[in-house]
Amino acid sequence: MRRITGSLVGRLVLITLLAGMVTAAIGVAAMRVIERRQFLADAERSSLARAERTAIRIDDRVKGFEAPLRVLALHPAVLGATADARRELQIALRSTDEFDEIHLYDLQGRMVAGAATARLLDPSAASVRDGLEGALPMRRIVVSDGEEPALEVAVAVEDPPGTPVGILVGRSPITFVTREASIQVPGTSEIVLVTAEDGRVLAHPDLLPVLEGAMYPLDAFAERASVVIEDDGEQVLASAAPLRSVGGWVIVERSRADVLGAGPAMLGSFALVLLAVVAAIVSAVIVLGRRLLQPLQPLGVAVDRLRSGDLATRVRPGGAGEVVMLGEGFNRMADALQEREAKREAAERKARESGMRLRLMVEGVADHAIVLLGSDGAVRSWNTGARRLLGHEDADAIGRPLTSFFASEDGPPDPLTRMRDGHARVEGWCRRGPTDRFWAEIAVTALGDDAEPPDAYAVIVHDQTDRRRAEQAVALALEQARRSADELRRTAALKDEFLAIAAHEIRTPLSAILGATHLLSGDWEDLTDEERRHYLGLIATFADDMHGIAERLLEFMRLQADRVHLNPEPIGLSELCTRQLDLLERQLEHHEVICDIEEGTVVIDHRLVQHVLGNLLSNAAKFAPPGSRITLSASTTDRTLCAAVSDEGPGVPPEDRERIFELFRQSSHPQAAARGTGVGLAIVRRYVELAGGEVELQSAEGAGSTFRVRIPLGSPADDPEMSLGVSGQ
Amino acid sequence: MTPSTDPVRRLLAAVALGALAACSSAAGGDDGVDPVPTVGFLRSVPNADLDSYLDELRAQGWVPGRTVRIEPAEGEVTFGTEAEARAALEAWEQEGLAVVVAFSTPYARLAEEVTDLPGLFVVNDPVGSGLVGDPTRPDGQLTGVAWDTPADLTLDLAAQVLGSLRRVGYLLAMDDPAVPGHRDRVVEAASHLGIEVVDATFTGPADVADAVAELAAAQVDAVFVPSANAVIPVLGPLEEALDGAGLPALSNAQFIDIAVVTLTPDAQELNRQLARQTTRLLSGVPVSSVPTETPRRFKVTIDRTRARALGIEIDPSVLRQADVVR
Repeated sequence: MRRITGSLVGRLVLITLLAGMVTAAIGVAAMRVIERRQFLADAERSSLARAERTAIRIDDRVKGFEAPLRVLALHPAVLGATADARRELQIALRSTDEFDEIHLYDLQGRMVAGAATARLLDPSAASVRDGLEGALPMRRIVVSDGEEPALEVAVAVEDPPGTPVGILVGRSPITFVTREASIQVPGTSEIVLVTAEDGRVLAHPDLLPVLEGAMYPLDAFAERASVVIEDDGEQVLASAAPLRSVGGWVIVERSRADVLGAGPAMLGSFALVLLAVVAAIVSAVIVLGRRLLQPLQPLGVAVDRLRSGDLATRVRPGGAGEVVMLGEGFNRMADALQEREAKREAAERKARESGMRLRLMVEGVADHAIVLLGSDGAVRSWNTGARRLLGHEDADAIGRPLTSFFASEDGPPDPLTRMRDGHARVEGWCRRGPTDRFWAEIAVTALGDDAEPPDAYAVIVHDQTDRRRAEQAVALALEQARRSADELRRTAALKDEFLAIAAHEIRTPLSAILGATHLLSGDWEDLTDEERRHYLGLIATFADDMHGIAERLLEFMRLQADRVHLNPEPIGLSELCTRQLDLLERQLEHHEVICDIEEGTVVIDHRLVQHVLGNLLSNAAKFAPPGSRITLSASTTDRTLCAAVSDEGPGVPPEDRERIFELFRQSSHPQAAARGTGVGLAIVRRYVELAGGEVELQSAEGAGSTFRVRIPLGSPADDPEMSLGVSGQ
Repeated sequence: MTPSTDPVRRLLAAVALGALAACSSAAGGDDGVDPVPTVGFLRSVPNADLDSYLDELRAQGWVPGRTVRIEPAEGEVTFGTEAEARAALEAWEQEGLAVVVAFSTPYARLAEEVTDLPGLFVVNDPVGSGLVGDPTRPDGQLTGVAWDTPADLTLDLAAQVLGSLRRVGYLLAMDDPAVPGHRDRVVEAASHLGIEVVDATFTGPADVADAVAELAAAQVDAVFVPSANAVIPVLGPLEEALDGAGLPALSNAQFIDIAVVTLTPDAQELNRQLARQTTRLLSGVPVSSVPTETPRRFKVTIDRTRARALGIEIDPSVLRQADVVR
């Protein structure tokens, strides 16, 4: 903990120190720039202010010079403007500090008297001065080479007032100006100098430039009162203020280097302050850091003990509020860890027990195979039931794909390809050992995180062979029952259909018979013999029709009920056709029948040919107009009987060419309903299909029809069971 | 925890060293404090107007006791002999002497001899005594103010006080370098005014009375006693001799209080001139840039009492010209 504490405090100190130093460096640099500008601006302002102040003081002094002269001009000795005034001038000179010489001139400019502090004046030796009168009162700077400039103030001597009698001139060395100019701030290079309007230096801290008549470059102040000028290679900040009383300038000069030179010292102080602040911050960080971290030391020890497994470790919270909260938080965390550890241990113990029970239970399951597959679908482990059910030892099974136990043809699909939501269930035949099979119900469950591909699969295989067989038996029984039911329903339908057909077909001839019978029985006496024979003939005809209808219906019913048994027998084809024509002689007596029959013997059911050809010929006789031709052709080819019946009837419309072969379906031709019963062609198709042949119709409306049948021929010697005429059973 | 292994303490030490280095760097000096410059006064008579000097220093921005040190601090302290002056000068040099101000020609020469520092003088004749060649450009280490009184004014004033002045005696101190130059100016002014100058030489108190007697015998109207160190020790015998001879004295120094007429530079103004020159030198201006100045204002002292004792009545209009009437 000590190391941690030291490290933290050290880092805090280091970071604070670095941040402070960077801040200090930036601050010093910024201050340097700001200070340079500020120093120059401050120096400019202060220099200008000093120049103004100096100019004002000088102006005030100069203006004050007139007063003593005006007083002196009122003195009677002076009013006389004679040499007697000298003593008064001398006295006046003693009583005032302003002048070191006072001259009295007459109006012609001749000096009549004079007094000086530093010499004895001889008026007679003085030169005449012109032009004094016109400029009174007058103030001016008098400059002479090699001498200090002097201020001259002149006032008029008037006696009486308003009448000038002389001129009083006071002369003063500009000592007061020099004194103002020589005032200097210690430690600076600032100087004050005074120039005339033409730039001649009138006062300077050093007397030498004054005596030498140095000229100052006043042009520099043409635009600004403060400028930086070059003076002997050095940059000088110069500020000028006008001297209004006598004309001229007061100039304050200061070395630019001196102005900026103050910066480093101030910057040093500033840097020192910054360093002190940084040091104070670092110290505060150290103290606060230690005060903050010291209470954390027991906490660090407790953390180490907790990490080593001592979950009973607790700390006594102390120190700052946050540290107390931290300690309390640690204790709560330790409580939670301890409680969680206890729960975890209990859960582990329970899990171990559950695992043990599960293993025992899985091993004890003998009628189910429980297999653990890897993610690749290979067997990792299985139980006793798996060994028994799949008929393999562990050494043979471990590592093999589960699908290797499936039957190759009717085995179940790979359950791993049927996984939905982590589960799959498939069934199929599996192999048990090398020869045996069993119907397996296989349930697969993926093991692992739902979001990831499964790590393994749990497979439970159940032998469902008995159930499978029972299901198959039930299905077979159900199929048989369904077929029986279908047969019963078909039989019932046939019966109903037969009864309906029979009633329908028989009703017409029966009505005719009943009518004829009632007529004969009721009017027997009134009828002639011929009429009686006619009606009896009708009864016989209709009875024959009824018989024929009944025969055909019964024949069709037999066909429908698959109760027709074909019995092929050898017979001459010509004989077979001729017999049929003979049977229909009466129906065909009004038509011209043309036969084209191949000679030869065929093996075929006689009654089949009779029904097929009979119905086709009968049908042609019904619809072909009397006198028209009906052609019967028959031939054999490739063990097939090909027969055709053609007529010159009205033909069959295209839309009726299929339906006329259905029971009670007739052509829409107007003659069809009148002449047919709708049963003959249905019997034809049924017989042909029963024999494995086919029937087709070629017809052109108004141009007759041709019905062709092709019936396979059989040979009883070859295979009696497969010969024609053998029923479908 | 040992100091050498504690990173925090090492950091603190580094910060402290850095702060010290910064302090040293910020100060920018060798010892961190600029010494207060000292101005030493070498004088044999008290300076009653030292306050004017100090006031002007303040006016020029130098504060005695803070930004400049004055030795001796009291105006009454004097150095009666050259030995005393030399010792003081050497002592001041040890304490940061910057400018020396010598109030006599001998002490000015002593300053030149003892130190190389710039200095100022108040002497009668700086050119004549060889302290400077060109007063506008002093070529040595000294400049200052010439104790120069206008001799013509002194003689003219004396004539007004005495009523007439035809012959004046000049008391010439032997071997005093300050005297010859002054004597020459007196002689020149006297010649312009038509006054005869009679010299009398003395070497000390023993023969000063003889010199006065000599002048009395020459029937001088007055005796000019010039300002000189040699005069100081003879003032007593001189006063007795003059009183005995009934001769009024003229002088150019205030300390020669036996004179009836004294025209002396305004000591206050002269001190102010010295102060301004001092500040120039303290600011580092070379001596050659500080021309030797002359007094600009003067004081007239008339000792009416002494005049009456001599039987001289002074016209009131003359007295009005005096700054001081005793």
